[in-house]
Amino acid sequence: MGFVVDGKLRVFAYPKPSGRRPHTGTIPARDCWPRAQLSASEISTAVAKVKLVSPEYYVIGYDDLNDLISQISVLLNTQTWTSGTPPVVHHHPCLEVLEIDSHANPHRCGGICPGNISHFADSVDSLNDCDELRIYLSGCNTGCRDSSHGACLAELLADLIPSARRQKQYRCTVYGTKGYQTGANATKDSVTTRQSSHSTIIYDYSQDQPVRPGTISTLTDPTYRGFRGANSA
Amino acid sequence: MTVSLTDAATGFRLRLDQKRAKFVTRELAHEKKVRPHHRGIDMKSDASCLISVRSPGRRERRYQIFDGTIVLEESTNLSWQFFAGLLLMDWLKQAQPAVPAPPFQPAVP
Repeated sequence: MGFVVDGKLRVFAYPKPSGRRPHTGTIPARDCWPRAQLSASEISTAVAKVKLVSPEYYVIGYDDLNDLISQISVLLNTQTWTSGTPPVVHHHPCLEVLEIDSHANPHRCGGICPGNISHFADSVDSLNDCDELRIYLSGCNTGCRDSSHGACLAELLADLIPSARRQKQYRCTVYGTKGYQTGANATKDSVTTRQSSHSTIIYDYSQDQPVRPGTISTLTDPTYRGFRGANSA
Repeated sequence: MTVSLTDAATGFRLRLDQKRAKFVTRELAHEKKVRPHHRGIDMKSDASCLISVRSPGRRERRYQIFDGTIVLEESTNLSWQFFAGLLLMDWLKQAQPAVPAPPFQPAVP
């Protein structure tokens, strides 16, 4: 179920494949929900790996982006951590890592697309974010460009977080993948390739990043590239 | 018969003229016949273009294009290679105003 480390909370989230409730809330759906759904076996494998490799992560399945934000808000308001001697219980941790694991392309990931990205960015900005917030968009090619559409989703999201209202108040890095991905950041088994077995198309700036020997830190994962916007500290 | 393409990134919808619509339906049927089929999509990739084919007296058939070269038939969840998808993506690109790309400057390369 995860735990808070030094007042910092990490979340691994995935869009639920079925049983979506009616859409409610301020973030519009705008047909951004992934067309390809994660299968039950893909989800159970990823969740089991996260629990094994990165037990500090809270794992969330969400019905839409509003559901994701509300579940994170509940965690930020209810989770506690203990430190010091004698032990003192602290409340209200901050959000340090949000990883969204989904089918994706340079313009869509986990229900986020250019149609609702500004609403989603506002919602993330309104949470209790840590001084260094990291957002991972785990899916294929989220950090690469499709030549016909300009900036990729990771770049667009990085430009919007923090908002102008909270300019330079915290640092937000949005990480996108460098190619067709298997694995994820929290599971420490991410691999990217320029070409996939099923598709010959190569997106701009994509790179091969093969399997790395030994365990790596989630912070130095070479299969992701990070973007920061002008408002970021 | 009406064939329309929707850009999944922008939501832009393009209705094809009869000549191009015929080409798309013929190509979809031909490739379905000659290419090996797979169930679903085996990579963590999402659709970039949606194809809707409406024929009089027939149910609407919907397809999704992944990474320009794979098509998935929604009704059967079968996918197969479809290189004409690159051409369809080009048609969508040409029909929309060009988006100027800012310089590519990742903070963490």
